[in-house]
Amino acid sequence: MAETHRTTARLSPLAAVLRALATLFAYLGGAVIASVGLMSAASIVGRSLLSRPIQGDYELVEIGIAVAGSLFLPYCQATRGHIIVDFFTLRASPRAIWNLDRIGSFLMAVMFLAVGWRTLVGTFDIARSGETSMLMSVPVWIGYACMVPGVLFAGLIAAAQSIGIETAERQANE
Amino acid sequence: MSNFGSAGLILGSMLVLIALRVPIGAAMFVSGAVGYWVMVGENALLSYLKGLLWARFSVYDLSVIPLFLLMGQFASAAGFSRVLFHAASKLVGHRNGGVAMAAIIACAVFGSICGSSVATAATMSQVALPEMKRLQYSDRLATGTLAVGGTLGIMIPPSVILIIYALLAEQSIIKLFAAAFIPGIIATIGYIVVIAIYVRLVPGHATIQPRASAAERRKAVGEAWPIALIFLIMFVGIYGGYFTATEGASVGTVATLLLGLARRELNWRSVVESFLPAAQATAMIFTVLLGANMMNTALAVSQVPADMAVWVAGLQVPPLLIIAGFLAVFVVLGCVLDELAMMLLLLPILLPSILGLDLYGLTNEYKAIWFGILMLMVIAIGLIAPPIGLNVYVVANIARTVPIGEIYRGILPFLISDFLRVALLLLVPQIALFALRFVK
Repeated sequence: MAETHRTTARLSPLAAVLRALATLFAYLGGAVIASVGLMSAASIVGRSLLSRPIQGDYELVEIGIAVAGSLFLPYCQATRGHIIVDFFTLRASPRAIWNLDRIGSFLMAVMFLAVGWRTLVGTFDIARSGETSMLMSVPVWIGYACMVPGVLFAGLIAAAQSIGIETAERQANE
Repeated sequence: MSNFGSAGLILGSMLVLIALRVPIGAAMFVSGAVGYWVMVGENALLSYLKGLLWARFSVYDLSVIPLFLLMGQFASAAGFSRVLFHAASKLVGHRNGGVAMAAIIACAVFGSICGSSVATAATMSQVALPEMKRLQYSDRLATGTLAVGGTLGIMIPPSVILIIYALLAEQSIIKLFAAAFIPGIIATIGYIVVIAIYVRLVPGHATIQPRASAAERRKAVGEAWPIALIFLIMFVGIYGGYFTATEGASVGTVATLLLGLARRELNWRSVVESFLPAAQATAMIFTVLLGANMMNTALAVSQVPADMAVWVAGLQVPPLLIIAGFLAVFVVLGCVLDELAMMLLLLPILLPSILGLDLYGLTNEYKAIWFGILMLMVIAIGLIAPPIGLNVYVVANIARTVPIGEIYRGILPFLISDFLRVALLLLVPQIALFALRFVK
């Protein structure tokens, strides 16, 4: 795991920008997770010592994990952190592998862009319906909207990889 | 097209894509989406996708995944593996093969605050391999021990694989953790026994070291006990019903961070850097969950898993044999597929069948939990078994001079204890289920 997040010196300028932005997204998501963790820990203290739980912490965790998860996607895509099975292509030439991986990136792009597009449409639908969360009355469309940038950006990186822009150094076995 | 044909096409195209190095999440998603489109139409697919991301990601229990991953990163960066190995070596290192036993014990304790097998194998190898080399333990025993010890990272709770199983099988994470506990301890003891027997039967793999003085032991244990305390607080809180799993993970992560900072092992920079591997692994897991959701929805429309459950329930074969057969499928597929992917693929197809069987008269909940622990052990075997044991590559990456074949030879004796343990749990489900009566 240590190897996969090492930056490489031979990235093209565009790839380097994509990768730096993806890292920024990951840190943003990390900040969200850190807040979720601190809030949960604080909620225990509040409950046991002051017998005053944090109102709606459950809902905040749900929104937090959804947003953080989406913000982590571009980094994982940029560093090629997704699981692949290389057992059947161990003897393929580097050229063939490179082409297969472009197909793989293309399908990742299809997935993220399709899901991102539909989530964006869903955001507007939910906003119109005015649905809110149960306890805190947070409008649900905000949660939807916060997930869109991460997943669309991950799709963009995958699309860039599928046309041959490398954002990670090649791994022998990952 | 018949439903059976559609399901066959979905699974077939997915397997072809996976074999062609397409990331597993995308392979499942694309095959599932196309299958769903063919079966129920374009509009249904587009409308389903609108809510998919939110429905899949905004799940309270999912939050334990990044938290436990982060805790494992903090624990690695804070040098907990070194402290634990040092303490265990002082306690048992003087026995025949004792330093290898110490590595197993340290792996088990590290596994109680880390939910990843790869992370446990990596961090413990960095500490224990050079030390065993210095003490003239054979490469075979040293590397085999660490590859196997790494699997304790998932067999002893917390366990990321078990969390994902809980989400897929719609079972309580807390109950699965509790059920994994005793089998995890049996695994630890089993590995220690294997080392004790192995070094006696095949001399020349281990050396005998002088016994540490009482003062040395006290000092080493004094450094290690706060780590065990983190585990205790976390799990007493979780099992006692005081915390949810997320709150337990939060408390554990904050405590690990504070202990690392207090000992000056962690600094601002290493804390910040710990987030990136956790982010990467979280996104990897969430992506396969997303793809699996699409595929399972399509398979559910085809009704094939439900039909298969009816068919399996009607088989004139002892139920236990069917379970053993399912586990064998996991072992065989585990040779070529990634363990996580395998679970995501097989579980939705097999679980309805398992729940339809009469197994010792257990309730559905208990059947699901029991099978979860069985599957966890089989997955752990897949991580160390040839031809592609992930842990073996992790250890080989650190022990650069040791050939892969030598590591597999070191693993071989441990596999006996693994298979015995799986057989034992198959015959006596209470080993796992007993602990559930203490969970509130």
